[in-house]
Amino acid sequence: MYFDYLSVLVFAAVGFVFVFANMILASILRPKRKSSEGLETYECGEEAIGDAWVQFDIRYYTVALVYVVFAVEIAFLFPWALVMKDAVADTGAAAGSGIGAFVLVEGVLFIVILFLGLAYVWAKGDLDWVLAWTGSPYQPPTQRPRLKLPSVQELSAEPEAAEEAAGEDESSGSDEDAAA
Amino acid sequence: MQAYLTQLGHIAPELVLTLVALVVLVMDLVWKGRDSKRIGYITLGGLAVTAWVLWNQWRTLGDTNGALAETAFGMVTVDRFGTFFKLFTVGSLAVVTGFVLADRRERKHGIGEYYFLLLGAAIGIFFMVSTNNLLLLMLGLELLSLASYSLAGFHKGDKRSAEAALKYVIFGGLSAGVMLYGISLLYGMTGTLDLNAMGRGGTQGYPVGLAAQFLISPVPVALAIVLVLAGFAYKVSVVPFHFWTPDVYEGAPTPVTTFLAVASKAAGFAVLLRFVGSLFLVDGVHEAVAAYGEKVGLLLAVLAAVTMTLGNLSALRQTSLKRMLAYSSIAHAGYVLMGLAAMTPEGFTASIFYLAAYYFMNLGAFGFLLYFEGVTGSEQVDSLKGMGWRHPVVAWSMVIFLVSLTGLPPTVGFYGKLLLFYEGIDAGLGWLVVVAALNSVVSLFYYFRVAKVMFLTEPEDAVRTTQPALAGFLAILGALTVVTGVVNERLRTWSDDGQASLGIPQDAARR
Repeated sequence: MYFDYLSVLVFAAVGFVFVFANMILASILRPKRKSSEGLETYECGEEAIGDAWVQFDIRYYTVALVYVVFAVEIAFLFPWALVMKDAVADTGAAAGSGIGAFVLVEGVLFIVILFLGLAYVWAKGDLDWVLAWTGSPYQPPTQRPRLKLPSVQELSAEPEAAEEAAGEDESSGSDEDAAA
Repeated sequence: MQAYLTQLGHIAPELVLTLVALVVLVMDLVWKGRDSKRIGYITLGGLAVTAWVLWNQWRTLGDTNGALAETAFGMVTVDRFGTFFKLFTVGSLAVVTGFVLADRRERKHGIGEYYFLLLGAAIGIFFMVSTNNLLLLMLGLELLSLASYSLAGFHKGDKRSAEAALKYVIFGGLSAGVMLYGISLLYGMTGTLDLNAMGRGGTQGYPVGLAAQFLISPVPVALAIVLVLAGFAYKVSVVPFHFWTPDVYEGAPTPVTTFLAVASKAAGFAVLLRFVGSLFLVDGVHEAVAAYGEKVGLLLAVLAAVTMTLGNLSALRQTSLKRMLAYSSIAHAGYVLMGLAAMTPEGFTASIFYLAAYYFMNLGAFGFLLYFEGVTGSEQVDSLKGMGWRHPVVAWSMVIFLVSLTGLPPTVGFYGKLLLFYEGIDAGLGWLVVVAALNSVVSLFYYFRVAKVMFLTEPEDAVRTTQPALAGFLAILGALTVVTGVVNERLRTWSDDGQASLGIPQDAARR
């Protein structure tokens, strides 16, 4: 009975070999030009080294989210298309059920709802990649001046009035209940 | 084809609500977010249609003994239990929408997405309260959670709102993961996602179930049950998964807090009731599973005692009304859990009735908070000084809600607590009832501090702002709290009908 799991083992082995074979192959084949940009650690378009208190670009994540929506759409549409094919040809699991029209309407509704999402993102301007960009041109992180953060003494010396510029509610009570 | 259309008819309320949500989203885009008031009215109209569909469903289900024999698409269980909570969800959502429309401060935030997200959360609630399938349950729960996360952070410029949203996302993500792990263990042990099949296992033609696992080892079962219960405990803020509650309730915009404290929490309890009922108590459940249910009941009883005590003691020290109500809602989670811990059909009825009462009084209490935030710009109890004489209608309504929250006659809160205590004693949980009674006395102190500040102190400055629409809302809710407290035979019957449709064998001697 343990041979049932042989396929899992084969799958794991192939996966393992696939990753390392590709990395070794790439290290043999790729050109070796070492520039400061090329040697940076790459992580989702953000700089991995340096202060955590940088302003990072939110546009990347909006686009990634929209992408995920449509990736999921495709994942749903493949099985739907198979059922649709069966229903139209009147074969397989859908034979004799007469659900062709139902399946078609269902699929169209699904796509329409997802496109509403796209229309929403579009109308709200989240698809415009170039927003008002006024920052400085790119500098590698080693040469960039570090962001100077105020120390605890400086922070406590500051009056608290600036915090409530928005004119909303006061924040309090969060200290008292810690002991309770 | 015809069969599919019939099944679609069973989930008509969900379909209507989805349609309303989409219309709201599109109209907001068409009007370019300029006219949020009209979108609010569309939402109210859509909710009215949904309520009508639900009411028809409730009456139709009366002819079929409370529940449909078959499920829609093998996933959605249409029964009176789910419809009961759906009706109350629609009601509380309508009140929250009314709050947003009526509040003069909230209106500037009340753009179309606000209503869209509220409706999306309601769709999640609709699906999660009406399924025995753990997968759909999880999906509904996540739909509700995702909408709640963004709603909690709706005041974009506000630091506290952003903090609340972040805390909510992190705690929520963790608990969802824990719960999914528990569900995957249950699935792995039983090979089914259907709660009834899990509990029955071996009997009535189901191949395996939890009972088969008990023969090998009860440890994985205990682990899975505890993990799933932890996920529910987070949703209804039961100790020790309550840490997020005060911070999120405080930081979120007040109408959203109302939604989280009332609709979201009651839905969490509905799912918990169905989970425990369908797994351990339902007709035809295996003896080994039923015996294990007794132990789970004891665990829930201990959790109930700890939750109500900790919630009430923490509420004593709060100076902010919003945080006080947050801790009070933790305490009330403990009270509702008491009926669940009784593990009897009557205890379940008492829990459902108390949740209905909780809808009335907590909607009112949070509405009062919204009113006075608009008037004084503060949520501190001290800033309410002398408000009782300035705003008599709202203040007296609040006194009614406070009386009801404490559990004193002649309000619906009193009757709900009476039922819970009675069923608790009947199930042999006398010690828990004593703890709950002591807790009610403690809660009297901090609830009536609010009334004292309103009526027995002199007003400090002349604030002349009023919000008549909101005051009208509160007066209606206050009247409902008293009326249902005196004439509650109908509500009692409805709770009983909801409970009966879960399929728990009723004790003939008690009927």
